[in-house]
Amino acid sequence: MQDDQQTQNMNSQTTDDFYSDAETIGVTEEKLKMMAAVTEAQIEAAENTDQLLQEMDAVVKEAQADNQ
Amino acid sequence: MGEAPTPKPTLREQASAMWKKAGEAVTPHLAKAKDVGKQVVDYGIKAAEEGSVATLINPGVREGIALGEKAFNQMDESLTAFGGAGDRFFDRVDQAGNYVDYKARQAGDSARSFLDVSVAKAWVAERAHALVDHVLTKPVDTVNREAVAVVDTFYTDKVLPVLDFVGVEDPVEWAKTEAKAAIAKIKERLGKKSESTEPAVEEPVDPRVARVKERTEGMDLIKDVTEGMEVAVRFDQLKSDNRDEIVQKLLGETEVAKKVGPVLVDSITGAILELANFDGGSRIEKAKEALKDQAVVDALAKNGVNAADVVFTMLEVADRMSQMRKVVKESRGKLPNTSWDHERRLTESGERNQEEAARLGIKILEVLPLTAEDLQREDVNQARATALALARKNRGFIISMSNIARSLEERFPEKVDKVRESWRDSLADFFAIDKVAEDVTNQVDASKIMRKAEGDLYKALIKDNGFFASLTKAEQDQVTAQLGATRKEGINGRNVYERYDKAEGSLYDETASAFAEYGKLLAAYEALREHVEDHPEAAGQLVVLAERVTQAKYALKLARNKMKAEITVLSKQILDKKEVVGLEASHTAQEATGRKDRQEYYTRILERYADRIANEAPNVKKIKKFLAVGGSAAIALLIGHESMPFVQDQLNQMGTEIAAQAPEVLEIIKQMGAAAVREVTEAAKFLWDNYPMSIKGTGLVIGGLGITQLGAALRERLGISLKKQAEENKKETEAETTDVVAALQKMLDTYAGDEKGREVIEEALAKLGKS
Repeated sequence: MQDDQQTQNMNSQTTDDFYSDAETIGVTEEKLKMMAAVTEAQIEAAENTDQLLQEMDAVVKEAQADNQ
Repeated sequence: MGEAPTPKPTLREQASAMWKKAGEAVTPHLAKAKDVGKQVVDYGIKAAEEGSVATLINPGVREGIALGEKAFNQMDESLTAFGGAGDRFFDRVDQAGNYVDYKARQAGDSARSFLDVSVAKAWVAERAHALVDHVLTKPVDTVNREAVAVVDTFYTDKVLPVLDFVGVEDPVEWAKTEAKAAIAKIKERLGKKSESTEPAVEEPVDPRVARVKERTEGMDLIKDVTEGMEVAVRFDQLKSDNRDEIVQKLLGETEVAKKVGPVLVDSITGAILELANFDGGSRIEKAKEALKDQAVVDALAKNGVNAADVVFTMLEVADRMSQMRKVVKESRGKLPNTSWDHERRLTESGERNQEEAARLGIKILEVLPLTAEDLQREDVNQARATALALARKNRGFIISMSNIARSLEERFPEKVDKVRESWRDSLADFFAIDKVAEDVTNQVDASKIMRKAEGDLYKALIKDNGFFASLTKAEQDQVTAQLGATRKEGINGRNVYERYDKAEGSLYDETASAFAEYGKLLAAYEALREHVEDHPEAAGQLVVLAERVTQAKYALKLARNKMKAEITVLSKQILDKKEVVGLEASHTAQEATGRKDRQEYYTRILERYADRIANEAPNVKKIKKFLAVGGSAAIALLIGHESMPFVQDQLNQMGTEIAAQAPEVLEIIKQMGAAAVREVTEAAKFLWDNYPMSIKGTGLVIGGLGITQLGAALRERLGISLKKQAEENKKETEAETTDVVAALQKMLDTYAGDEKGREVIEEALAKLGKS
């Protein structure tokens, strides 16, 4: 009787483990949110480098002025 | 000798403390939910005192509350296990509590309006439909899934019998044709304006949704669970107190009973139940006596029915009862107490989720353009919002399928393999769509894309650069070699990809990879979109791809800017050197090279950038943002990049200065930084695990800029205004700091088996003094 109960518990545990893995397939909310965060960070980073290039142009002009 | 310093709590201890705190916060909400449940029962009891219909409804209310409490407990467990999302949990408990409370009050009010049967009928129909509609139009989450189950139980177990009880032969048909008029009557009684009785116009079903619905209904797993269910559900209604009624109904369908009438039916009902082994005792004996009754004898004789006909009829009905029981026993397998309502709810919930997922998927398809070139940020933002709702529907479907499979396994342990195979089949699209996305991306001819990428790169960034064009061919080769593209000897006039040897990991390689990645995703998008047209319920994957396309588009922009800056600086260095030598200036050529070397160029560029930022009014949000990008630099350094050492110098310098000028602000900034680094750490790890080198490298550039900006801005502006703002935000940042511990703890757990990942996170914590 006790053995049966143990076996049943083991089966139940195995079953839960097997199916709980299912919840990770497909596109989860967490994955979407993380992707969105990366996208926004990427956009911001790229736009920051536009400003960097403006400063670079200014530095290049300063360097040219120094040499003249 | 001083006291030994109190040891800092470990990360795990901090996380444990946070959860304890969360548990304390949750308790009153659960108590509230239970209290609301009790109120509902009280209302139900009150309603029971006011009319027979309410009496019938009362057990339904109790059952609803029991399920509601179970739902709350499950929700508590699942969200605790999920880790985090405390606010969302509180919101849901509040939402559920308020909703149950509202419905309870509505039930009480309505019970008092049970003035006659027609009103009762209308009320039952209206409330049941309104409840179902209300739940179904809300996003499905843990609470709502349980709410649907409660509604289903209520409708099936209570509403339909009530309608039957009050004389509605076909409740569904009746609800369609008569409910509106009855509802209008109620509203009139209550002094409300009646709604239009115009029949609702049914919206045409999108064939794509219909196909998804058909696929779902045709799944083996669904068939397995529904097989025999309908018979079994009817059988379940054969409670001991109404078996006679069921037998009489079956008997009523026989020719003999139709001829002889109720006098015969009443006489042999008990005997049939005994024949079918439902009842023991002496009912057959009693039937024999009853059949000798003169009234029965006369009725039989009058209708030309003999004893043999009666016996055969009894056996026929008894056999039907036995067959029903056999089907039920077989379908229940090892679980004699299986709840068919529960199984049916799972099936219906799964089918409904899948259908709604398809509708959301179609919305996504309407938002996202046919080609990735046309993809705009706004499209992605819009699709993203719908995709979150879709993800919840998909998860609801997956959970339903898993629960069905679990139930089948428990009922039929010997069929585990078959059940799991059916389960896999039912979720095949979910596995397949991931694979399709992967295959579609991989099927793109990478070498062809890369060849084109190198051509695009050379044409767009190198060839047309004015400074580069001013150099001699040998000097140009020197520049491209510094970028990572060394000219092959003896190969001229061919395609760019053939002319150069590409150094792995170089800026040239990274930029070409960014071009190629973008090109590859453009090609993949169209193919995946076509596939999703047939599987709209899997449109989330298309949104993920749209995110990747957008990321790649901006990664390419960043890479182009990096490359443009580098080519300009390298070319200008050579030109400066030539000018200095040509002008015979006071500096030697060697000194000039030293003064205008690449590092100095970049330092000046970054300093100008930082100065400009410093001249803007700083605020907490901006500082936090700078810290975030600084955090990404720290992470980038930790995960392998060794360049830009000034990032570390800037960090140290910044910390020293702030500590000297305003130590309390430093503490607050550290907390803000922790929150920022938390976000960036997760993003960096995700990025590191999922993206190519070209994108990983961007973290370094962002970080370099961020730290420089931050150092300059703080040094210039670290005054009262910042201090005041920081203090005002102290509460917020304290809460965020608590979240940091949880988030990092979660990451540590997630990457428990990943030595490198764990080291990264722990080192990041150590840098912030949070180890």
